[in-house]
Amino acid sequence: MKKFILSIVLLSTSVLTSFAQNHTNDLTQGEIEAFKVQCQERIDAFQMALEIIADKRQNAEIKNHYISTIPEMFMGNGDPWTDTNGTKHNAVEMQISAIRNGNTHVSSLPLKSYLQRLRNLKYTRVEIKKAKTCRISNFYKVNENLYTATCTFFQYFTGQSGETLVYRDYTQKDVDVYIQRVEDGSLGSYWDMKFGDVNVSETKTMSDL
Amino acid sequence: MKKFLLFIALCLITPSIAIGQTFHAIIFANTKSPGNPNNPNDSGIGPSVTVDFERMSIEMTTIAKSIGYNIRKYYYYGTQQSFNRRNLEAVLNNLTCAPNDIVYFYYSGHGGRAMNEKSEFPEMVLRVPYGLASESELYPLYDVYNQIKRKSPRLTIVMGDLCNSTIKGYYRNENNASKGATVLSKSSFDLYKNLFLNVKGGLIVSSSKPSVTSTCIQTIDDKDLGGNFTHNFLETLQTCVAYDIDVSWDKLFDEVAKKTRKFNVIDDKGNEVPQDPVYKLHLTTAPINNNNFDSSVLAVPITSNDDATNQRDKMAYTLSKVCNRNIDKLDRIHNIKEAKALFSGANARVQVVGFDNSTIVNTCSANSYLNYLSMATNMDQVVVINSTTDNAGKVKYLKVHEIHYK
Repeated sequence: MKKFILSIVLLSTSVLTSFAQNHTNDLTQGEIEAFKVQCQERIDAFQMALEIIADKRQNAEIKNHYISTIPEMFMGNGDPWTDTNGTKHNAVEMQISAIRNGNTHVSSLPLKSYLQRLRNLKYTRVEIKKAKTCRISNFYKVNENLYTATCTFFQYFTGQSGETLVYRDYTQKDVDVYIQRVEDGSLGSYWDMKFGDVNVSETKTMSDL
Repeated sequence: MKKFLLFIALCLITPSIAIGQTFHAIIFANTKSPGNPNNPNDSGIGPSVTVDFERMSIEMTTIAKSIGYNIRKYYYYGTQQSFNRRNLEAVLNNLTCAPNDIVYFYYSGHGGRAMNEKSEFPEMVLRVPYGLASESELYPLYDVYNQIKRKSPRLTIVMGDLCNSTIKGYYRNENNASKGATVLSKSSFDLYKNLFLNVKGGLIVSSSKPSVTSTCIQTIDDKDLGGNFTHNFLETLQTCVAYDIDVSWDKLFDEVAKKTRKFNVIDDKGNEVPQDPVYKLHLTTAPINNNNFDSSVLAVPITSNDDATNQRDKMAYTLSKVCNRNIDKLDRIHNIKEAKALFSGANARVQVVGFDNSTIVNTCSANSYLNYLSMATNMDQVVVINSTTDNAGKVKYLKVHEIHYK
């Protein structure tokens, strides 16, 4: 009449994996897959927000909300931060690129400054468009409390002055992804995912495509 | 006359309430079932049933959303005041179905069978404290099926995860017994439509064959995975969704049975035998035209029997108004204020769990979570699983599951 409770010993690969990994407090394969899905969703949100911030036709209140909210996805909320080993880091940076006279020029600026700059670009019309779905590398264990990965996203940038197309390119950017263990007084230990620096890995003019 | 005009006016402004099919989700789950008081090592099946309850409630919401039905929840769990035979009879007696409605009944808890039981299906034990005080606490699963069928819904599903072993000395009084009354994608929409909208009739399934117990499963480090049958049912269903596998009810249950049989249980003679689910399908192919279904609409929750469920649904609806991709972006940002008022302040925490209801994929402050929701690009809704509140009734901790579009 009773429902008996049975412990799984050798019957399920996934459960076994979970068990084996729980012993070393590693992320399970299931958790890694779940974080990959989360990572993709956050990159999608980040890209959508950049599109809105750059677009001159969009509502200022939405832009302000996104500018203040985006840094929460990044290490240190966009401010200087200290890692789990106590090492201090500068505020996360965003690399930007432009092709002039056939040469690619790359520069970096803090994420928060980048967002303000993106809103105030001198073009009369700006369009940033997601080119394709982002790609996420495997997660690598750095130490007991940290995993890292790289997520690559792709975007088109178009800048116009009046009706004249002034600049157009296709950029591939790599963002560092960190999953770190956090100790919380009330919830105990949990894994938290944040983004780090964003680097340009490739820039092409539209005629190169 | 004024009342008549008011009635006409109300009918005109609320047409969406009058139309639309209902997915009746009925769950009886013995989530507080204790262990044997004479055995200090027996913690009871309550924690495992809680896993079943939370996962099934996510799945019910997902199914209803995928097939474009309004979900009406009838959730009975927790204390004896909620989880009892009287409430089961009441919900079955009071159930009213339109011709295209679907009724999905799910039970997780203790069970057994009478020595004179004729059907292959067991009886539920609708009692929270350990043991059985009276035969009136028993109720046959098959009677639930028959009673729902009599209400003539389009599809009746009755599913139980419970023992089917014989209760020694218990003979059922037939007259007495028959009295009573969780990433949405195109593939998930197709799969759920195929299972729920392309057939009509009924199906009844129980987690083990006559004279055999059922089991809950745990990892060796004591993490509850729920009932063996329920766990395998949900895993199989979600695998079909994830890998875009076209599946019918009979193929689905064949696969679930194969997985459930991997675990041995005890029969009436004390022998170890595989746990073998039993199921009867009475289904005919009858596609329903549901082309008017607009999956983008965020449905206002229908009031259920349970205050806690209503509270969770209300909270989920408030959060969903911040994340639903079909709501105007500026409105979503403005809706943050209403959602923020539910929480106790900066220290309130939100945890997001994956489809297995255990993998934590996000932990953050309530403010940060609401900001994230306001930017999400592919989200449909948030399902609230549980929460804790402070003395003022404000949420200190919230556990949620997110439903996304692919």
